[in-house]
Amino acid sequence: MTVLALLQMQVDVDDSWLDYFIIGVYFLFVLGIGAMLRSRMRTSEDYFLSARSLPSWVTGLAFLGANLGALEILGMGAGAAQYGIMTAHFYWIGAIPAMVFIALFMIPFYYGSRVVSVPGYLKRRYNEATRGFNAVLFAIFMILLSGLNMYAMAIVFQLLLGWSITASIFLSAGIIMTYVVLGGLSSSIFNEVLQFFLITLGISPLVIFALVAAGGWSGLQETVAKPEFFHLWSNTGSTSNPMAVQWFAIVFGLGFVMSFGYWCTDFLVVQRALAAEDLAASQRTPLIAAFPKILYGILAIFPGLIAISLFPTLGQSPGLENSFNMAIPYVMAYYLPTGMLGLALTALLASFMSGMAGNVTAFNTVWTYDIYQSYIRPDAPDGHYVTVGRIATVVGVILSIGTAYAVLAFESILDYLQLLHGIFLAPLFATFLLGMFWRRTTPWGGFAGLVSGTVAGVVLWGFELMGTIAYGSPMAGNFWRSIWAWIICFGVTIIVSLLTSRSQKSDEELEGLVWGLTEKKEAVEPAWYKKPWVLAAAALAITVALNIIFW
Amino acid sequence: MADNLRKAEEKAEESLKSGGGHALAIGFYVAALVLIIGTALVLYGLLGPAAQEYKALGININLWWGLFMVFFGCVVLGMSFASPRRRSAQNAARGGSQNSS
Repeated sequence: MTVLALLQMQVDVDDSWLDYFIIGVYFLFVLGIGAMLRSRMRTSEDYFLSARSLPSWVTGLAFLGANLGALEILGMGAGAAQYGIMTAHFYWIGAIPAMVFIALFMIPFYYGSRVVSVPGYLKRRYNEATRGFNAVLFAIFMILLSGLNMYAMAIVFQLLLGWSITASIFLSAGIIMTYVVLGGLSSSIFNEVLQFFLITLGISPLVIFALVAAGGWSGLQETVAKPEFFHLWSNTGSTSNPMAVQWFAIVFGLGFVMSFGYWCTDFLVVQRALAAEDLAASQRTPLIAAFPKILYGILAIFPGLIAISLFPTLGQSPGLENSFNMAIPYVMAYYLPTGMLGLALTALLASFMSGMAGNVTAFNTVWTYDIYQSYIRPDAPDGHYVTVGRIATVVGVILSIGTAYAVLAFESILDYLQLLHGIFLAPLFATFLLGMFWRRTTPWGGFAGLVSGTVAGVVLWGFELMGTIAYGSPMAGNFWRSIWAWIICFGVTIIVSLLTSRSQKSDEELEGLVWGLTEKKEAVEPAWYKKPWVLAAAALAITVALNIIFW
Repeated sequence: MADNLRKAEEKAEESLKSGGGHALAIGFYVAALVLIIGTALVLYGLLGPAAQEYKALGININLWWGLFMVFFGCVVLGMSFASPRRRSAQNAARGGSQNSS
C-alpha cells in the first residue's frame, strides 16, 4: 500500500499483485494485436490506411479512441476541478457540432478525393508550399502531443504506484514503438477500440460510486459549495464565471474555431474516418463517435467535480502532487480497492498509449507521404515507403521522449494542449474553410493566410508570456488567441486571393476539392437509422437537451 | 472437388482478412480482454480479503463490477459470433463449394 500526501490530507493507495496482473494482461493484448496484424501488412495502403476496409463501428470507436488521450481523462478532470461544469463546453458546444459538420460536409471531400493526408489535400487545393509548411508543422505538433501523453502517463504512475517518471516514459515508448512498427494504422485502430471499452468500463464505476457517496447531484452541489461550478451558460453574460469568459468567446472561440479546427482538420482523427470501407461508413464514423462523446461530457467531467468536493485544497499550492491534473487519479485512489484500481489504471494507461500511438501513426504517415516521398525520394518502390514509415515510427517515439520532458515546464495539461491546438489548428481551419467553400481562394492566398495565422498565434502567446496581454484565466487566453489566429488567417487569405491569380489551378483540377465545383454524391445507405442526417439530428438534439438541463 | 473446396476456403479466408476479418477479430479481442479482467475481478471479489470492501462504501465492487464485465464480455462475444459479416464470409465459402461441385 502506498500513501499519498496531498497537503494536509492523505490518500491510501490500495494496490496489490492483482493490479499488476490486469496491467500485464492489457500489455499482452496490445502486443498480440500488433503481432497478429503484421502478416496482413502487404502494401503501403494497408499500413497507412488499413486498405480502407474497416466497418464504421470500428472506425467510429477508433475515431473517439484516438481523441481519448491524456486530454480527455486527466485534462478534462483537471478542467472540471478548476472551472467546474463549464469544462463540458468542450463536449456539448465544442465537439458535437463539429463532429456533425465534418460528417455531413467534409468527409465527402476527403473520402472522394482519395487524399491520404490533410497536407495531401492542401497540395491539391493550394500548392506545394502550403502542403510543405503544414506537413512540417503537423509533424512537430504530433511529436509534442505524443510527448504530452507520455508525460501524463508517467506522472500518474509515479504518484500512484511509485514508478519513476523515466521508467514510465521508456516503458510506454517501447511498447508503442513495438506495436505501431508491427501493425501500422490497423494496429492503432484496433487498440483504440479496445481502449474505448477499457476506459468506459474503468471510469463509469468511479462516477456512479462518487455520486452515490455524495448523495446524488444535489448532494454534490452542496458539498462543493460553489454554485457557479454547476452552470454551463447562466453566468456567461459577463466574465464573472470560473472561466472568466463571455458566451461569445465560448461560442465563437471554442465552439467554432477551436473545435471545428480540431475535429475537421486534425489528421489524427480524420485518418480514422478515411480507413472506413465506403463513403457511407466514412460519413457515419464521426457520428457513431458523437454518441459516446456526449456521454464523456459526464464521465470525464464528474470525477473532477467529485475531486473538488473530496479535496477542496486541490490546485491551491505549487507542486505536481497538488495540481488539478491529479484530480482523477486521486478520486480513483480514494474510492477504488485493489482490482478495480488496476482496471482504472489500465484504462488510463490505455488512453495515454492510444493517444500517443495515434500521434505516432499520424506522424509517420505525414512524414512518409508528405515530406519524404514529396521532397526526398519520390519514385521509390512501395515497399520502401513501408520501411521508411516504420523507421519514422521509431524516430517519432524517440523525439516524443524528448518532448515529454519539455512538458515538465507546464503546470496544466489542458492549458498546454489548448495552446498547441490554438497555434497549430485554428489558422488551418480557416485555410480549409475558404479552400472548400470559396472557389476564388488562390494557392498563394492559402499559403500567406496559413503562415500569417500561425505566426500570429505564436506572437500573441509571446505577448502573454511577457505580460503585455493578460486574460482572466489561461483558458480565456486560449479562446481569444485562437479567435485572432483564425481571423488573421481568414482575412489574409481573402486579401491575398483577391490580389493574386487563380489561373494556376483550373476548375477541372479543383473538382472534388471545392464545394461549388463538385458533383454532389449521396452515400448509398438503405437503412434509415444509419443515414448520416438521422444520426446527426439525434446527436444534436441530445446535445441541446443537455445544454438546457445544465444551463 | 477437393481443389474446389480448397479454393472456396481460400476465398473465405481472403474475405476474413479484409474488412470482415478486421471487424470479427476486434470483436473477439474486446470480448476476450473484458472476460479475462472480469473473471479476475469476480474471483478476487469472492476469495480476496474482506478489507477490499472498506474503501468502496461497504460494497463488494470487485465482485459486482466483475460480474457486469463478464456479462458484457459474453454479449460482445455473442455479437461477434452472430455478426452478419462473419456469416456472409462463411456463406461465401459454402456457396462457392456448392456451386462448383
